[in-house]
This record gives sequence, structure tokens and C-alpha cells, in this order.
Amino acid sequence: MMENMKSVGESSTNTKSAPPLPVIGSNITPITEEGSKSHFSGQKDTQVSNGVWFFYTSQGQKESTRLNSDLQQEIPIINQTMLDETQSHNEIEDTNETRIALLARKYAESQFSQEESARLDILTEKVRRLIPSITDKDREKMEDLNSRLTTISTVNNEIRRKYSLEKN
Amino acid sequence: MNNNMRLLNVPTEEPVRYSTNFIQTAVCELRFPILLELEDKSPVKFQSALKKRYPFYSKQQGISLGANTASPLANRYLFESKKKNWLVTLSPSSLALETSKYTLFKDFSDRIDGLLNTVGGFLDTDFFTRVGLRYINAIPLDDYLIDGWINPSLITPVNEGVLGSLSAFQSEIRGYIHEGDYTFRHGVDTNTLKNGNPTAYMLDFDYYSEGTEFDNVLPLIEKFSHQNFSFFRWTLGEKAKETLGEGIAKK
Repeated sequence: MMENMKSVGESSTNTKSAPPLPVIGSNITPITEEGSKSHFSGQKDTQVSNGVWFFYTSQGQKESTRLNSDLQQEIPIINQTMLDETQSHNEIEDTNETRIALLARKYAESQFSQEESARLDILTEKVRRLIPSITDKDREKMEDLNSRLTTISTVNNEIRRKYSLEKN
Repeated sequence: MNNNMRLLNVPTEEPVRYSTNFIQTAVCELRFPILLELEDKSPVKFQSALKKRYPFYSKQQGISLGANTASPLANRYLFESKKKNWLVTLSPSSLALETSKYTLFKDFSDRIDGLLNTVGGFLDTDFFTRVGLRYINAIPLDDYLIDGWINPSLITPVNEGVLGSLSAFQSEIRGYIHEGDYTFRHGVDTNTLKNGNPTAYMLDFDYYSEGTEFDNVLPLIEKFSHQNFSFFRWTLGEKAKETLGEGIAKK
């Protein structure tokens, strides 16, 4: 994402000619020069005027996105990672919602079928996988802390040795 | 299954193909972990996938009647073939194939295979909680007598005449087979009476097993079908066997 933002920031604000094509992520691919068309997911038409890129919706509605180099830093960059995160977020939400509905059914109703129980088990396992109680980031943090503790311990030992403070 | 359980132990007979059969309805039902979205949303993707082979679509809302209460049951979605003799029924936790024109097990099995290939992926599961195969046979009582059409062991009280003329007679037996369980219902339904005389005797065989992996469905129902042939033959009387004839051995 950061690489994309750097690329966007490279376009010039003062030049009257068309600025370099902004790189806005894998889903947006302006492909031609001034006045030409390109595709931007739901937004179909692209136009360049006074160094400013305009993206219009396929219906040509007003809600077009104005993109120039000053604004580029402010606009959230849509790239595949973000889309994946959104999809993953939706999957987590959907899975959780269905799981909660089944849990409510389990505890509120007198009958809970084998098919409901089986789906609840599947969803519980899915939630464990999608939202693990210890994430990869948590592990990285722990490893980092461990590494820092080792360093501190080494430094401490050095100090003890230096000042002859070793334990007997 | 408990090791002390005794299994169905009818004489084994190799399946043969008859030129005619008594099967009124054959059903294969696959129960899967519930899909809550099917409780309130139409099964658009199922419909789209099935419409070529089962173009007639309808929705059925069942109602459960209790004492002074009526509560709605889950929606059922029906997909029928052009000639309306094959029916796929989808509910939030089951998928069933039913036919009123059963001829060969191979045809039936191919249809199930096709169904699994077409919509199996939408079920979001790699196992079925229950797989069932059911054959409902109607033995025509051409002479309005049960005696001779059905194995006497099944109808001893009826044949002895101590019960008098019967307006209805139904019996249910549940037991075990190698692959799971069976339920066998037989008898005379009031719907089949004509001027007080029975015109058909119902033989209803239902085989089922719980917890079956996706890939094992077809081998399982083939075993059920094989088992059914021996059981079915055992339930018949001499008149019914004569009506069926020798049959042709299956390759």
C-alpha cells in the first residue's frame, strides 16, 4: 500500500499537461492519456483536466471522484489487500451472525436438530480459524519481546562480569 | 451399533431386473448441516443450476398443527422434471430426489450423482448427517385378497380371520442392517379400499445411515438398494412372485 501511495505522490500539481497516470491499486487501471477512458471498478470514465484526474461512475453521476496530487494522499487507496480484508471481514461477520443465530436457537428452543448442531460445529471451527485467539501478529510480538529479553539478559551478564558481580 | 444387535437376516438374493415393478415411489434423501439462508431466502443459485433438468419450480410452506396452535415449518423448494415424474425437494437441511417412474437403480443413482455434482457444492459441507433410501411398493391385490400376495409370516393375524374384516391394517418394524438402520412399514391403507375390499398392499422400505462422507453417498445407497432386493423378495407371496416373473440377471 505504501508503495502505491508514493507513486501517487510523484505526480506534479503545477504542470498544465496531463499528469503521470496515477497508480491507485490493482483495481484501477487508467490506461491512456488525456481525455481517454479507463476502468475503475464501478467508475467507468476517466478524464484529465488541468492536472486533475476525474473518475465518473458508469451512469455519469455527480459523485465522481476528484483526484489530484494534493488529494491523492488523502484518498484511501483501494487495492487487492484491502478488498481481501473486506471480504474476510464480511466472512467473519456472516459466520459469526449465523453462529449466534444457531446458538440462540440452541438455548432458546426446546428442539435442536442434528443438522443445526452439525452446522454450529462447522461454524465454530470456522470462527476459530478466522479469528484465532492468538494471531500471527501476537506471535511476532511475543518473539520480539523474547528477543529483547534475551538481549537485556546478555547485557546484564556483561555488566555483572565487568563489575565482578557474578552470582556464586 | 451395539455388537449384540442382530441384523436383518432375510435370505440373500441377487438382484434381477423385472419387466415391471411395484415401486410406486422411490426417494433418496440427503440431510446436511442446516443452511439458515434457505429459511427465508429463495434458493436462486440452486434454481439456476437445476433448471435445465428440473425446470418447474415451486415453493411450499408447511404448517405444523398443534393443540390450538399452528406454527410455520421451514420452506421447501420443489424442482420438477419436464414430465413431472422426477422431483427434487430442497429444504434448509435436506435435499431429496423422488420419482414415480422408477425403472433401474442405475438411472436413479445417476440422477443422484448428477444432483450432487450440480448443487452439492452449494451445501457447504463435506458430509451428510443422514442418507436415506426409501422404496414404497404397492402390490396390486387383483383378487382383493391379501392371502397369497404377501409372505404369510407378515400377515398371520389377518389371515387367521380372528380380526374380522379390516378397514385398515398397518405395521411398522425397525431394525438394523450392516450399513445402518431400516424401517419397514406394511399394510392396507383406507385409500386403497374399493367397496370395502383392499386393492393394494403397501410395502414401504426405508434404509438410512447417519454421518456419511460426501464421496460415500453413492456406494452407500447402492448397498441399500442391494439389501432392499432381498428384503423385498422375502416379503412377497407366491402370487406376487408369479406376477413379477423370473426377471433378468443384472450384469
